[in-house]
Amino acid sequence: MTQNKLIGFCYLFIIGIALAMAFPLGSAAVAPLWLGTLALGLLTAGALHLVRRRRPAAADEESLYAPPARFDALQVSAWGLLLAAALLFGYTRYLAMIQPPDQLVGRVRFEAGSVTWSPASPMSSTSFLKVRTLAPVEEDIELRLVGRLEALRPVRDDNGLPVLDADGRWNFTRTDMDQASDPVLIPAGTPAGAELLVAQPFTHLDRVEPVNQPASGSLAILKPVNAVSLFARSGRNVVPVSILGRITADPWVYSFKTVLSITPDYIQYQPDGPFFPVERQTARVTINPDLPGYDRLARSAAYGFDVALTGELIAPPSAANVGAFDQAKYLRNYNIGGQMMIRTPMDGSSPFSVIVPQGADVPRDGNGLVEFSLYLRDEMVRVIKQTMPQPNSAFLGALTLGLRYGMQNTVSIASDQHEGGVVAPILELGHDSDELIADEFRASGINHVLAVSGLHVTIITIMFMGIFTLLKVSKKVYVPFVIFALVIFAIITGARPSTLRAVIMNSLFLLTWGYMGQGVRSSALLGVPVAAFIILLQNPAMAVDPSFTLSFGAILSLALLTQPFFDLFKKFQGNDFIALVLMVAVLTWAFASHWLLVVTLRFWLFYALLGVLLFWLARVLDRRGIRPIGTYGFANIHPGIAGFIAAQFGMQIGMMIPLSAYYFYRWPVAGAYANLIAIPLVGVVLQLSMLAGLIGLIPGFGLYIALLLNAANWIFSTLFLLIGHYFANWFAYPFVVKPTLRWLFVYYGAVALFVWWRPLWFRLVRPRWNKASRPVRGLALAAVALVVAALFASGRAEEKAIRQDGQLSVSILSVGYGSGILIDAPDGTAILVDTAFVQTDRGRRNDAERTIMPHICLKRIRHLDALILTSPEPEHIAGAATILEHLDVDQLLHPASLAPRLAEGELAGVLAARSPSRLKHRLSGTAIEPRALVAGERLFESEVNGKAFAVEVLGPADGDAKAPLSLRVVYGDFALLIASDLTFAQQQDLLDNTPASRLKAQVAVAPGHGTPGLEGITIGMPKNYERSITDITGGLLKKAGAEAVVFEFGNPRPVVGDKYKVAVKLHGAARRIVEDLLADARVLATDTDGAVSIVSDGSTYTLAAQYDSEVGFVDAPTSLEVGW
Amino acid sequence: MEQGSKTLLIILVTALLMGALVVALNPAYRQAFFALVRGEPAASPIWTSNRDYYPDVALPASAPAPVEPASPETAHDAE
Repeated sequence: MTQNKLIGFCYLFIIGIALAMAFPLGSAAVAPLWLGTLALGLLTAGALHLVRRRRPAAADEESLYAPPARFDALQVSAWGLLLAAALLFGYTRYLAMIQPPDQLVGRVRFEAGSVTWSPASPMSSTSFLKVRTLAPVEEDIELRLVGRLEALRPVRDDNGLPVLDADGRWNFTRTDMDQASDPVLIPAGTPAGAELLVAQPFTHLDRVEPVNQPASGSLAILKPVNAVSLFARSGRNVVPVSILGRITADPWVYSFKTVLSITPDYIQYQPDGPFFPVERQTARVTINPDLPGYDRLARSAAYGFDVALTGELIAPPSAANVGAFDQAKYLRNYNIGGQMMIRTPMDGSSPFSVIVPQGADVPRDGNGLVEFSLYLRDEMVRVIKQTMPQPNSAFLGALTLGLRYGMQNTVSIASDQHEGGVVAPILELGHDSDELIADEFRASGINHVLAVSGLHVTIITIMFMGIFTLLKVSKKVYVPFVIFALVIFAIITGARPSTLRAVIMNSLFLLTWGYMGQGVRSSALLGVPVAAFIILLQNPAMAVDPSFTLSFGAILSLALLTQPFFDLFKKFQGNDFIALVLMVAVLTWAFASHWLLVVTLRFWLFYALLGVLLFWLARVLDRRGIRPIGTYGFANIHPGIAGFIAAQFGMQIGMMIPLSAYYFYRWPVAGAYANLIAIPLVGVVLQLSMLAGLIGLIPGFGLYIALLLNAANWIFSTLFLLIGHYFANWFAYPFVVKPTLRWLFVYYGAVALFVWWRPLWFRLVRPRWNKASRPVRGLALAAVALVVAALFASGRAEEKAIRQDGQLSVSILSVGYGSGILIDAPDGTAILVDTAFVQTDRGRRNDAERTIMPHICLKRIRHLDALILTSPEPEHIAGAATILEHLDVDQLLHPASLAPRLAEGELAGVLAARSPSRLKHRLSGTAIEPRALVAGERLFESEVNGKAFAVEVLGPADGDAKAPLSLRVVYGDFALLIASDLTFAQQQDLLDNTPASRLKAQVAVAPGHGTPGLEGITIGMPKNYERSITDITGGLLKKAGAEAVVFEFGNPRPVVGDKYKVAVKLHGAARRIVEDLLADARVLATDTDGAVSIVSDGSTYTLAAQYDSEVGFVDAPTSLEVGW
Repeated sequence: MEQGSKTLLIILVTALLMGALVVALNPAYRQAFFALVRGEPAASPIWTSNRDYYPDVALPASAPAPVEPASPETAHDAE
C-alpha cells in the first residue's frame, strides 16, 4: 500500500466512525457488518496486489500540480474498494463499541394463550437479564423468568478479608439454588425494540412462565454485558455495593483527597447478595485522609494493589442543562462506568482493604513498565519539590510530568498569598488576585501547555536528539532509545489522547527520518492519520472528545495552513506591509479594549472602510515614490519568526476559533498574541525542567546541578506565569455563539478551498474550463452560485429552527440553589431573569459563566434586550457582573430593594465602566443604565400572530423598597408566574391584592426556591411552617391555577451556609405539600429534574425537563483536558 | 542537528550560570543550597513551600508529610 492509500484508509476509517455516530444501526447488524468488512478487506487486498503487479508503486505518487492522470479502471477500483473497506471498518468498530452485543439467551412467543420458549445459548456468567420486545405489544404481557443461580461468596480469612490466591484469583464458595424472578410486566403499547432490565441475578435460565395469557407477543431474553455501569445506581440514597478488584492506574493524590481508578473483578450488587463477575469498565473511587490506611493508598506505589471495598456506586450524572457538559458521556469515553466516594463508618472500621495474595508478604505490583515510569515520575517530583518553590513547582509538575491535578487550586502568581509565602516572589505585584493559574491560562489561551501533547513531545524529542548528537551517537542507534524515552514519558504523563497522538507521530517521524530519510512535513501528513487510526481503533468514542479533536485539529492546522498563510502574508511589502501592520494593530486594540464593540456589524463596516483607505493610501504613496521602509515586508522577516507567525495564524483559523467556540462557547482572543511569546518560552522552561529532573536523579552532585538549573528556570517559569496573568487581564475571554455542525462543515469547506485551491484549480478546474464552451462555463458558474445560495438559505433556516418566530421559549435553568430563567419571546426579544449564585471558595462555581452564558450561546442569542434582576439575594444577582461583561444588554431592570447592591462590588465596577457617561460605550451603543420597576408596568409588549406578548410586573408596589420583583410572562392564553424570593408576608400581600385574572398562570416558579421563610429561621423548622406553605404558598399557586410548579433548587450550602440542613428540610416539606395540594399538577425541581423547558405558541404549551430523557441528578464541576 | 545540539549546550551553560547567580542572590535559594550542603533538605524553604504539593512524595528516609483530616466542608467539596 502506498503512503497516499494509507492516509486515505485512515481518514475514511474516521469518517466511518462519524457516520456510525450520526446513523447507528442496531446491535443485530454488528455481526453481518464484521463479515462485510472482512470480505471487503480481502477484495481490497486482492485488488491492491493486482495493481502492484501491473504498475510500480512510485507511479502512484504524483505532483499536486501535475496534469490529470490517465484514467486507470483497476487503480480506481482498488482505491474505491480500499476506501469502502475503511469506511465500513470504522462504522462497524464504533457500532461494536457502543452496542456490546447482548447475549441472546432465548426467545418467547405468545400465541392464543400458549407460550413457546426457544432457548438460544446458555448464559456465559451470572448476570441480570433483559427482556426486549421483538414486536409491538398489543396487550399486557406478564411473565416470570425461572432458572438457577450459582451464588458466589468470597472465602474470608481470619480477619474477615476476602482471600486472593497466589495467582491473583479471588477464592469463592458457590451455592447453587433455584431462582425465579418477580413478575415482569410489559404494558400494552410498548413498541418493538423496547428493553426492560430484570435486576435479579441468574446463572442459567431454564424457561419463561407466563403470569397472564396474552393473545400474542414476541420477546427476546438477553444477558447484558456485566459492565460497571450496569451496577451503578442513580439517586441520592443508594445502596452500597462491594467491589473486589485492582487499582489499575496511578492514584491522583491531592492534599485533601485521593482518586483511585479501580478495575473491578467482581461486584456484589446487594448487601449479602451474590458476586457478579465484571467484564468491562472501571470505577473512579475517591478516598479521604480519614480513611484508615489512607497513606498506603495515597501514593504511586498503590498502583497494582488488589483491593476490597464497599461504598455507594453512583452512575455519572448527565448534563442538567441542554448543551452543558455531560459528565456521564465524558467518563464513558474514558471507560469509567461509575463513581464511588468511600465514607468511613462512625465505628472506625475500614470499608477499604488492601488484599495480600496468599503466601505473599506484600500486595501485588502492577505492570513493570508502568511501575518503573511512576517511580521515575515520583523521583522527578521529589527533585522539583527540592529545587522549585510554589507556585512555580505546581506549574512545572503540570508542564513536565502532566500533573495537572496538582495545580488545580493553585492561585495566580500575582496573589497576595504568595507574597506571604515561604519563598518571596521574584516580583512583588501587590495584587489581591484570587484567580487560579489554570483560569488565567485558559483566558490567555496558553492553557494548552498544561496538556502534555505535540509541543512537549517534540521539544523532548529534539532535546534527546541533541544530547545523543552531542555524544556523537549515530541516529540509527539512538532512534530506538528516543522512542523508548517517549513511551516512558507518555506513561508518566497519563497516556492521554493528545500525548499518545504526539508520541505515535514523533515515533513515526523518527523511524521514517532515521531509517528511510523522509522529511518532517511528509512524516506529519502520514503520522496524523496513522496516529488517529491507532487511537480510534482502541477507543472510537474518542473521535468527538475535545482533547482528541483539538489535538489533531492543531497538528493538521500546523501542517496544512502554515504554508498558505506564509505565502499570503509574504505578498505584503513596503507600504502595503505598513498598512497590514496598522490593520492588525487596530484590531488588537479593539480586542483588548472593547470586545462588545468587536461583535457589532458597525465595527466591521468601519474596519473594512479603514482597510480600503489604508491600502489605497499605501498605493498612492507608492505611486509618488514615498516608501518609508522600501520593499521590506513579511518575506524579509527571519524565516523562523515569519513561519512561526504564519503557524499561529493557521492555528487560530484551523482550530482555535471554530473548535473552541464549538466545544467551550468561548474564544481566548489573547491566545493569538500570548502564544507568540509563550511557545518559545515554554521550550526553554520544559527543557530546563526535564534536564533538572533527570540530572537531579544522579546521586551526589545531581541535586546541586538540578538546583542551579531550576534556579534559572525560576525566572523563566515566573515570566511564563506572568504572561498568563497579564494577557488574561489585558484581553477579554469572550463567549461566542456556538457554531452548528452545518456551519462547521461550511467553514472547513472554505478552509479546504483556501489550502488546496492550487491543485484544485490547476489539475481539476482549469484544464476543463479552458476546453469548455461558453454555455457550459455559464452553467458551471450558475451551479456554483446555486450551491452558495443553498448554503446561505439552509444556514438561515437552521437559525430560524433554533429560535422560531411566533413561539415563546422559556428555559428555567438548573443552577443549584439559585435562579436563572431565559425568555426567548415570540418576536425575538431575549430577556434573562436573574443570574444565579457565584461560589468563591474552594468549590469555585460561577453558574452565570458555566451554565447561563453557554445556554445563551447555544440558543444563538447575541444580545439581551433586558436583564431583569428580581431580588437582592446573591443567588439571584451574583452572576450579573459576568453577564454584563460578556453580553451587550439593552436594559438592566430591578426592584427598588436592589438599588443599594448596584453600588457594591464587581457589579458596581461593571456598571461604572458601561455608564452612558463613557464616550466609548455611548458611541458603540453598549452603555447601560439600571432602572427600577414597580407593579403595574407592562414590558416588551408586542403582538405576534394575533397573540399579545408582555412581561407584567405584579410587584413591588410603588414606594416598596423591600419586596423583590414578581413577574408574569404572558403570551396569548399562556402565562408563566415568577414569584422570585417573596416571603410569606409578601406572598400573602400578593394573594390578597391581586385579582385572580392577573395571577392566572399555567406554570409557576415556586417562591424562594421552595424554602420561603428561611430568612427568619435561626435553628430548626418552625412549628407553623407546613401551615404557612399550605395556606399561603399553596393558596397563591391555587389562585394562579398552576398546572405545573417548578422549584429552582440545588445544594443550598454554598448560599445559606449553616442553615443548609434546614433549607433541605423546608424544600422537602414544601414540595410534598404542593404535590398534595395540587394533585393534578406536575411538580418539578431543577436538582432532580434538571433544567425545565417550556414552549408555547400562545394557545397551548409543552413542558419538558432535562432528565425526562437523560439520567442523572448531580451537576458536578469537571475540568476537561485539552491540548495541542 | 549539529546546530540543535550546540543550541542545547548553550542553553545548558547559560542556565547554569544564571542559576548560580540566582542561588547567590536570592535568600530562599541560598538557604536551599546550604540545607542541601548540610544534608538537611527538609529545612530548605523551597521544600517547605511545597509541603502541600504531592504530600505522598517525601524526602528519602523520612515519612510522608502528615495529612490533616478533611473538614466537613472539604469533604463536601470533594464530592
